[in-house]
Amino acid sequence: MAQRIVIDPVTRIEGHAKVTVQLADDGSVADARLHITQLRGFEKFCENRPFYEMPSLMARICGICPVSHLITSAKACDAILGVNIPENAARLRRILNLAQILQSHALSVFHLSSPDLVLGMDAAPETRHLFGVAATAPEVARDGIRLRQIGQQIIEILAGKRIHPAWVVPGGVSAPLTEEKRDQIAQMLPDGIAAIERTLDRFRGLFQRFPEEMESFANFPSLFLGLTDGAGKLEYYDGPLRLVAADGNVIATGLKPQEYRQFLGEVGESDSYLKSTYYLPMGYPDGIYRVGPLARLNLVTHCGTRRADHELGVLRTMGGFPLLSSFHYHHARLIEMMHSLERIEELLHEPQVLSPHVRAFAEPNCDEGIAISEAPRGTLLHHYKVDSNGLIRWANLIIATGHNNLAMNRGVKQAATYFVRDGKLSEGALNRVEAVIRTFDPCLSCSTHAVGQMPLRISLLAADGSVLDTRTRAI
Amino acid sequence: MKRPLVIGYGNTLREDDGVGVRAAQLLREALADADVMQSNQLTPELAERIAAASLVIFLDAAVDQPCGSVRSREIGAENADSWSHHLSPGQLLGIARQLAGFAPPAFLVSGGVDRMGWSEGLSTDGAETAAAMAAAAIGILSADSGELVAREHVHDARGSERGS
Repeated sequence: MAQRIVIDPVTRIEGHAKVTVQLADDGSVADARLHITQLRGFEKFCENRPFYEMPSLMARICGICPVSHLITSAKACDAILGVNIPENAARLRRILNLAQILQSHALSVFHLSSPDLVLGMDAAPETRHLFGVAATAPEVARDGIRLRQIGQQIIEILAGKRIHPAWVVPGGVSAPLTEEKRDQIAQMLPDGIAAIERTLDRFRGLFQRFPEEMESFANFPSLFLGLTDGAGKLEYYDGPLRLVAADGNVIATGLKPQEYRQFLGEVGESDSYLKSTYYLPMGYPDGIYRVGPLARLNLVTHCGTRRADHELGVLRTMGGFPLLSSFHYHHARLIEMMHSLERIEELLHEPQVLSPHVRAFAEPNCDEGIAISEAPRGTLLHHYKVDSNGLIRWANLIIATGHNNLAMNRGVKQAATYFVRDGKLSEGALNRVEAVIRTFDPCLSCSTHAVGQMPLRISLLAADGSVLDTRTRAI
Repeated sequence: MKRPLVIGYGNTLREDDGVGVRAAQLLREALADADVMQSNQLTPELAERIAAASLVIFLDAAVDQPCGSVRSREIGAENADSWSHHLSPGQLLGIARQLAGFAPPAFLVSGGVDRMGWSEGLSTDGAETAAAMAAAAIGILSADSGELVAREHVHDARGSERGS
């Protein structure tokens, strides 16, 4: 009789989820699904709120990447105002976004995934956490903690507090950067760059110890979507979208975020609160694509900073181009952390960074605002419609984890097929099915807007749908 | 020269869960020779500051002690057997010791609360508890720490007091 495995909860991810693995009569994996089991509903309860409340309200979606929502929401509100914000406001928002990418990637790489990478996928579950890493490789834990701290401190210095700052507002930012704060940020950067260099030196070899995981962790052709500066350089704050194919060919460029309805489709899944998005011209589910660090580095020609570009060359030499295995998300995150630090340094040295002109004022001039920026996990879109009083009438959010939903599901199936043996899910296999999800660094609180903490679970189902095995782990 | 560090933590969007944060605000105004900080929760990033301190006082709300009571006790470093996003004070001391080789003496000052609804601002009881927690922290900072190691101190924000 065919069987079903349930993993519930999936651990070391941001949010609640479970995995169901459906087995065929012969014990092989017939299907596997990632179910997001929580719902929050920010798109609904923001209705009738004044549009200018949206940045602070939307930032509450997440405690990990509030800055990403803050910035994207403020950009959508800029569009409702109908203003071009001052150049320095955009510059300061960019610095804030880069700090957010740094601290979030540090959390993903060091706090959530380094236990798998440093201790091994088969290490005892009770040691697979940051403290276990600290006991084995204290320098890795120390650098990870320090890097996240630098990102958080930059956010706090710029925006007043680390979580849910209110500094980014419709029209710009609420206060300019002072010379003292600029210097305070600048003096932290060399320490961060040194920590990333140490980490890259250490992890390049470490990644090579996982050939099976490279082979089986969402390693398949897909499209890749993300912002560029228009000419192919890495960009997080603004610009057109680019879509590249699995062979590296650019299949769409100059895509305007405001026209996303023409090229992105959204579909609800019957077994999950997470919507899936797909490239509309190719239909569902063939229009599967990935976003985030791996996608961004697959679609750009270069990062635009010296150290990050060097490491991008190393990664492409080691893994090929484009990189199809989601295992390479980890390396891509480290490169983006390096780029973030280098880019912040560049921006801080631009002559106008202390300019006091950081906010444009206006009444609402448009009844609709659409904005995109690159969050740590990938492309983030906010779309609002307002009435004549500036009250929100409708909102739609497309979050990175939603963009990646089809790829995550296919990746879970691929990993389960590779690692489930004889209808059994060993502890190591369980961890690998979870680890393939972790490569995407999904943020389920963001993507489903659900209240909750962190867990997930995996189910093994018989062909008749009965549950044969369930793995549930307290965290 | 090392200085004491006071960390008030809790969720200020959950009513009296924010008593530790409020106590830290009161201490920031009252203390010039200590580092006082507020946080939503305890995370590993605090380990470096802890390892650099001469003494650490954690201020937190507690639902497992009578509302209005304030309890001060010394705590030690603990090994963590799991971790997601939040650490206990002992685990945080443990990671400071693990990564920096040093965990300073530390005390947990907890304030008993029973109102943790979805709201900003403290109740009247919560505000009194926060003030009593700040007073207890000042007591620790001004006392000989050797004396405090040997005892646990329980104080009721509404009057009574006992030592153990």
